Amino acid sequence: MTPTPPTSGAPAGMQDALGAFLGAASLAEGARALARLLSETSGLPVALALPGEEGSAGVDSYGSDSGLPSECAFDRLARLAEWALQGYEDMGLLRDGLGEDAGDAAVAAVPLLEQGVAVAAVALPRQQRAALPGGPESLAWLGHIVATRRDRGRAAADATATERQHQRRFRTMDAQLRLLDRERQKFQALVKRSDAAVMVLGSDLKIRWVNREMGRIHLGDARPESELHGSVCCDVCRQGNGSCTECPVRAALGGAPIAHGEFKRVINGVPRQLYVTAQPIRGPEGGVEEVLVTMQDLTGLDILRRSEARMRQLFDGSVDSILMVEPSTLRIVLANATACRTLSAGEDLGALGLDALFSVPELGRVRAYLDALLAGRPAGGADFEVRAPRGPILCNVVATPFDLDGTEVLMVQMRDVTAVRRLERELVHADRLASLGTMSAGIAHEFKNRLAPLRGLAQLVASGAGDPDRVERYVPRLLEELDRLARLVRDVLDAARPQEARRERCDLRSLVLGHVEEFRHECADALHAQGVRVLDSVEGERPEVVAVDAEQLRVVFQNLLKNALEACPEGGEIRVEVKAEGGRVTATVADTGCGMDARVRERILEPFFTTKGARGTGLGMCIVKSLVEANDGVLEIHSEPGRGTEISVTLGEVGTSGNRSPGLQTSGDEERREEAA
Amino acid sequence: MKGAILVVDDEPGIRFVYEEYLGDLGFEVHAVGDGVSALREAEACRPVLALVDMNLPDMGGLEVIRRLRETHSGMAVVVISANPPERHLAELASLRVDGALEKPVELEQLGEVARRFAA
Repeated sequence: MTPTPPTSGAPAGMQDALGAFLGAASLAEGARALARLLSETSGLPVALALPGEEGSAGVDSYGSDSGLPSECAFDRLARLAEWALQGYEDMGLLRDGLGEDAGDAAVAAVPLLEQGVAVAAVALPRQQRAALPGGPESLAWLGHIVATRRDRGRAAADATATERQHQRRFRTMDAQLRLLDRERQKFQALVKRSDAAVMVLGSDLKIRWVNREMGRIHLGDARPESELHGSVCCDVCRQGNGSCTECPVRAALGGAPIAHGEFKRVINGVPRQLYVTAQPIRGPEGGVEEVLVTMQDLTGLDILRRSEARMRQLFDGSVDSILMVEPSTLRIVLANATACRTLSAGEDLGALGLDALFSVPELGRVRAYLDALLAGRPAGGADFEVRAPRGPILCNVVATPFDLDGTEVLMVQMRDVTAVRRLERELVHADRLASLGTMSAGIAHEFKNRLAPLRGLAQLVASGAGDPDRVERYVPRLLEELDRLARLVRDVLDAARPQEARRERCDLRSLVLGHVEEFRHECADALHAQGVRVLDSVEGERPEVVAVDAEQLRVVFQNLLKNALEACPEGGEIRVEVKAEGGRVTATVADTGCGMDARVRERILEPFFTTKGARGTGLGMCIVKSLVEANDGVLEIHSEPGRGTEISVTLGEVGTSGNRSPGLQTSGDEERREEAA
Repeated sequence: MKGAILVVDDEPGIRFVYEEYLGDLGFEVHAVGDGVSALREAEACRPVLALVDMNLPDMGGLEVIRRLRETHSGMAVVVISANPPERHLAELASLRVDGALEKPVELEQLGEVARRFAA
C-alpha cells in the first residue's frame, strides 16, 4: 500500500501544523509544536504525553487547564504512552472512548519510532473536537501522517539495517578470506622450508605437492620439487630398492584415519631408517581424495636408541649402586637397577630419598662428606653403613658432581664392601699373626745361634778344670760373644719398638755430611783395607731445613753407609748426594758393590733377613725403614746384581708434598730401564 | 788315623768352639762360613764327616748338602740347625742325611757324632 502524500488533502488549517510537525528536528519537538498549535488555534487545553528517558511518560499541558481529562484519564494517557513505548504499535491510531472516565476525551497515542522510541499522545475533550482546524477528521489525518512517517522511517531503517547487515557480512567474509590466505601462505612457507618431509598424493598415487625435504632428502631425487609433481610416488620413492609393502599410503587411501609404517631405504648410498605417516584428506562428499604423507628420518634416532640402550645397560649393569641425588634435599632423581635391587625392597627410591638409607648418626657423616665435596674439597671415597632391606651393609661411597640435563646433581656410587672389609680385617689379623710367628721364629733362631758358642765356650772353660791357658784363651771370646748377644737384644728392641721421632728443624745437608765424616773416621781402616772411596756431593749452597729426629737419622745413615761398605769387599765407591726438590730433600747413598738380585731386594726389609751371615742380625734395614717412616720419609731402593745399590731417603714437609705418602718403594733393573725409557 | 771333619757354619763363635773341641779330641777340623767355601774346602781336604748349618748366607744348607752328596758319596753328613730339624725332615731324608742336631749342641753329643762317623 502506497501511503498517501502526508499533507495533501489535509483539512485546511492543518497544513501549517502538520508542516511544523513534519519539519521539526525531532518528533518530540514536532509533537510539542503540534500540541501548542492545537491549543492556540482551538483555544482548548491540550495534553501531550511524551516518554521520558527512563521510559515513563511525562505529561505536558498546553492552553488552559480547564476541560483537560481527569487525573485518572491522565493516568491512562500516560499508561497508553508506556504501552506504545513497549511496542504495542497497533494502539497508535486514534482511539475514542478510552474508558468511562475518559469518554469525553479523544486520545491519540502514537508510538514514533526513530532513534529509539518516542510516543506522542494528544488528548482532546470529545465536545471540543469540532473546534479543531479541519474538524474532527483532522485528528484522523494526524494519525495517518504520523503512521506514514513512522512506516517510512521504519522501511528506511529496515532497508538501511539490511544493507548494513549485508555489508557487515561481506566485510566478515572478506576478513575471513584474507585470514585464510595469510594462514595458507604461512603454512606453505613453513612446510616448504621445514625439515619435516611432507607431500600430498592424489588418489591415483601421483604427487600433487611435495616439499624440498621430502623430494631431495627423503626420496633422494635431486630434481626441483615442481618437476616431481605428477610422478607416481612409488617410482620416486623406491629408486630401485625396497618395496611398498610397509608403506602406509594405500591404507590411508582405503580410509584408515591415520596409518604408520617404518622401512629401510638406501638413499644416495646411505642406509636410512624412515618412519612414514599417511593421513587421508576427504572431499566435500566424504570420499578420500588425497593423502597427506609425512616422513621422519629415524637413522640418527636409531643410532641414539642403540647407544642409549648400551649406556643404560652399562648404568644398570654396574656392580655399584648408582644414585643421582639432588644436593639440597637429598632427593633421589635417578637410580640404577643395582641400586633398586640392593637398597630398596620394591619401593620407589625416588620417594625414599638418600636420607632414608642411613641411620641418624651415619646420615650426619654422609652430609658432612657431601658438604665437603660441594665446598670443593674432593674427599675420595668413604665407608658408610647403609640400611638395606636385607640388613645393614657397609658401602664405600664415592660422590661426584654431575650435570644431569642441565641440573647440578651428585652422582653417588655405592659399592657393597661388607665382605671385602671383613676379609681385609681377617687378613690384617692373619698377617699380624704371621708377622708375630716370623718374628718369634727369627728371634728364637738368632738367640740360639748366639747361645750355641756361649755354651760351647763355657763348656770348654769348664772342661779345662781351671787350666789358666784355657781361661785366657776362651774367656775373652766368651765376653765377645756375650756382647754380640747384648747387641742382638738391643737391635730386636729397636726394630720392634714403635719409633717416635723427636723432630727438630735442622739442615739436612750438614746433618748428612756430618754422618759421612763420622763414618769416614770410624771405618777408616776398613775403607782403606777394602779400597773403598767415599764421595759426597751436595746441590746448592742454601741450607735444606727439614724437621727430623737427628739422632734417628744418624742411625739410618750409619746403617746405610756400613751396608754400602760391606757390599764392596773388592773395593769401589760410595757416593752420598743431597738434593732438594719441591720442599722435599732427598739423601742418596749409592755404592758400586755387589748389588742385590730380585729375591734379596724383596726380602731386604724383613726382620732377620741377612746376606751377611753371622756379621748381621738381619735387623738393620728393618730399623732403617721404621726410622724413616717415623720421620714421614720415603725409602727407595734400587739395586742390580754386580752394579751396585742405591738407597734414597726423602724427607720434608709431608703437608706440601701431598701426593707422596710415607712408605717404601723398591725397584730393580727392570723398573730402572722403564724409568730411563 | 781320624778322618777330617768339615764344619760349615756362618757363626764364627760356633766355628771356633767346634774347632777347639773337636781339635782337642784329635780330629782334623776344617771350618768355613759359607756354602761356596764349603764346596771348595771339601775338594781340598776330603772330609769323612760334614757338620752343616742349615742357615747359610750364600746358599741354603740343603743346597750345600745336595752338592756335597754329588761329589763325596761316602761322606757322612750331620745337620746342625738353630731351627728344630723336624721342619726339613722330608728334604733331609731325601738327601740321606746321617743325623741332625739342634743348637745349642752339647759338646759331648758333638764328640759322639764325630767319633761315630770320623773315628
